[in-house]
Amino acid sequence: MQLFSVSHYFFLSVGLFLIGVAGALLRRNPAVVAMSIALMATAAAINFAAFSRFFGDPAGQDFSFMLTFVAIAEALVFMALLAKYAKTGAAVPTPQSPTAPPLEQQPAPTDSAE
Amino acid sequence: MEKAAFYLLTTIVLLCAAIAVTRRNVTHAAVILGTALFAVAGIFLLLHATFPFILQLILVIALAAAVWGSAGTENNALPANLGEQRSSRARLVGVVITLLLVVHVVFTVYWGPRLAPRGLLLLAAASPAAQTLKMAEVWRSLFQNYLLPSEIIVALLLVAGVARNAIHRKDI
Repeated sequence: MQLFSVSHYFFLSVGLFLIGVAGALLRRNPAVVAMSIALMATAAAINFAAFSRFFGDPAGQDFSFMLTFVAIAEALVFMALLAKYAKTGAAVPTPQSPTAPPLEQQPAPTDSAE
Repeated sequence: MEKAAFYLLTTIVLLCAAIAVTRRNVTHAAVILGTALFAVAGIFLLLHATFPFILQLILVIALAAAVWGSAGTENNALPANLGEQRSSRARLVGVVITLLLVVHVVFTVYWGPRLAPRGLLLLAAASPAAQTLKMAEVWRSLFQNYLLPSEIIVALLLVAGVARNAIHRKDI
């Protein structure tokens, strides 16, 4: 008797991917954005592995393998960056950094033609 | 048994991922994310995907080592609540994403089982392959068909390792 179809794993990966998208779009903390990207990569890896299992094609496991490698590399670099910033106490540059002045307080760009 | 394991792991993965994304303390979020990735390793085990399972465990260990290493810094934690200023546009995007999540859950719980027997979901018709993939087949496919991408990925990991060491240097 068949307990699962590939749709079970597909729905799991869709849910995980949506959570990752929500985290990447909603949060401004670069560490959380990096984690969200890792979540999206993991969701894609689950999909690859599930399709590989259900269709008997080893290519899916290969791509899942490579995706996890990319996630490891990303985790290494981002966590090292955050540890560096935490150690030095410097502000992590973000699009809306608290240390940067608001856009309305920044000087207007001068027109070079005048 | 397998069914119970799948639903348990799925619950852990989705719950921990949602908590990790919404936590304000980054160290706590990283620890909870490690739990979610560990449960994903269990999902890989259910799928008989041995190599992704092993690599996922390595990813969890790398994440734990990174959190452990950053916990000993002068601030004693990763920067928490950093850059958490939200604009109205971000709130709008958040509302849209939340609606998408709700639609996803409703579709999965109510409509998914109804549509699947009628063949409207092609995915539901797929069944597990008759023979489980052997490790040798996966290796052969990786190093015969996808040799260049795997070499690029390994080079990327090497570059990431060098970059991590360069970032940790004191004079940079």
